[in-house]
This record gives sequence, C-alpha cells and structure tokens, in this order.
Amino acid sequence: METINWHSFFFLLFASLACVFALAVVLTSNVVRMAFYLVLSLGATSGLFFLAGADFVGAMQLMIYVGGTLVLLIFGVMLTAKGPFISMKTSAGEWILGAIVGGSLLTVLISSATSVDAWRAVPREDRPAASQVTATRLGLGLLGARVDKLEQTDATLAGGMSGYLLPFEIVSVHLLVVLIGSAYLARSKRRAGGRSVGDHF
Amino acid sequence: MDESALLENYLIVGALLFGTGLVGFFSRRNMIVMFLSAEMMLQGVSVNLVAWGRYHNDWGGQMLVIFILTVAACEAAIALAVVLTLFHKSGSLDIAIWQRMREENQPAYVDRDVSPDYQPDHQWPKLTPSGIEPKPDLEEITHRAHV
Repeated sequence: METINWHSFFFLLFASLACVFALAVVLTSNVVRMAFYLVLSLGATSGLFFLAGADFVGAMQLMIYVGGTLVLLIFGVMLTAKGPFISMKTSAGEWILGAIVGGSLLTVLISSATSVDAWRAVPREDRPAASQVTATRLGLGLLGARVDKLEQTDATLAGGMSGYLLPFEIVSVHLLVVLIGSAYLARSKRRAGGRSVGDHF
Repeated sequence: MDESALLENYLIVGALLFGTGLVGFFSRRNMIVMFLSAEMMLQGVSVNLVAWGRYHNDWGGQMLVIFILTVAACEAAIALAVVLTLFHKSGSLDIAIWQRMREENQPAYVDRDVSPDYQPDHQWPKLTPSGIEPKPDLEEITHRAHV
C-alpha cells in the first residue's frame, strides 16, 4: 500500500480550506457568518504557516488574529447589528467590474508565480529556516541581532543585516498610539444637554 | 519536504487570497465586510512573505509577517472605531451613505435595485426650541451608560 504523503495532504487541506472560506466571506450576505468564515480561513492560513516551518508566526497568527482581532470584530458586528438589516445589494454591474479587476490581477499573479522554473525546486531539508525552532531567532532578530546571518562576511551586506530593532520600537509605539486613539474615537460622547451624539440624527 | 511544499504553491495560495479579498473589497458595500476583505488581502501577503523567507533561507520574511500582524491589529482597532462612529452618525453600515466624500468630478452612486421591503426612515419635523433653556442635569451628564 502506498504511503500517504502527509505533507502534501495537509498542504492541500489547508490551502483549499483557506481559499474556499475566503470565497465564502466574499459571497455570503450574513455578516456574522462572514466573520466566522474569516476565522476559519485565517486558521487554515496559520496551518500553512506551520507547514512552511514558521511555528512562531503561525502561533502568533492564531493568538492575535483568531483570538484578538476577530473577537474585536465580532464585538463590532454585535454593536452595530441593531434594527432591521437594510439589504445592501451590490448591482450586477459592480460585481462584474470587481470580478474583472480582481480576476485580471489574479491572472497576472498566478501566471508570474508559475513562470519561473527555479521556484519549483524542492527545498532542501537542511535549511535552517525550515527546520529549526523559530521563536528565539525571530526574537533576537527583532531585538537587533540577526543570528541567521552571522556568516555574512561582506561588510556592506552585513550592514543591512542588523535586525529590526528600530522598526520594532516604531511599530510598538504605533500600536499604543492607535489603541489610545481608537478608544478616544469610540468613546461614548455626551453633550452639555446630556444626550449622546447619536440622538441628534 | 516534497513537491507540495514548493514556493510556487504558496505563491498561488497567496495570490488567491489576495484576489478574493480584492474582489470583496471592490464589490461589497457593508463597511465591516470591506474591512474583512482587507484583512484577507493582508493574509495573502503574509503567506507570500513566509514562503519567500523559506525559499531564500532568510528570517526576514517571518519578521515582516510579525510586523504585518501588528499593523493589522492597529488597522482593526482604528477601523472598528471609525465604523462605530459612522454607524452612530448614520444608523447604517452602508458605505454608499458617505458618498458625498467622493471627489468632485465623480458621478453620484445611484442605488439601482432597492429591495422591495426597504423603507427610508421617516423624518419627523423638529420644533424650534423656545422658552427658558432648562438647566443641564449634572447627574445625567456625568453618567456613563457605556463604559
């Protein structure tokens, strides 16, 4: 009996799950179901990350996206889901236009992805980026030491391998500013009359 | 490692996710759905970055995906705050309500097929305020219904 190639099996499983639920997000009309389909699609994408050897990124994807962002999103759906849903149907013309633009971009991307023979090369087993525990190296890289590029002897190239400490600091301050700003934007507003802003509309 | 772990397959999956998100972003009118589609496009880019990082044996791809995750969390927070504010102002998630923010030379979007059960909100006339202005109720001002 021929042994099943489990890597191929799981790649096909996760890839088809991600794409099918992505299509379902676009085609469903119920917002709550759509958010759930997006959870499944993102979970399948994190499975793809695990298959590609990116353990830490896959775990981050599960924790931050599926655990955080989408819960926030479902809160948003619940806060805005009062009253009867007015159907926001897009006319067939807009669908066709969107499909033409998206489909042509998709054609370009897929044809360019399949056009280079070297991209079909089987990756070697001994590549460290595909076979080792990733969290320590990623953390050191974010702190400014690219331990995977220590063998770089060219001084000019080694200057560019100095890690991501400054972008890491910038993006963390960015996250803090954005969270404070969004909490300020979404606060409950009250005027001097004691009525919230929404009552005036 | 085998034939299904190729770079090409990851690129195709990333392209499919990105293209689906793009079509959704262009053709849907619900603001939350447009936001979901944008998240899906970010996912396509992340799949590409991980695959390229593995192909070039470089950890930069995965580090950039961590940055994408952070920026996506920022985007989710700010987009939901904006969507909530717009929803409080208009009572609907329809992006076409805000079409007066379009550029000046663009034609207006006309809703061609309105569903039969759609009824626009009744606009009650407002009375001109008259008489002595009542003192604001301090307790009601400082009361926070939603914390």
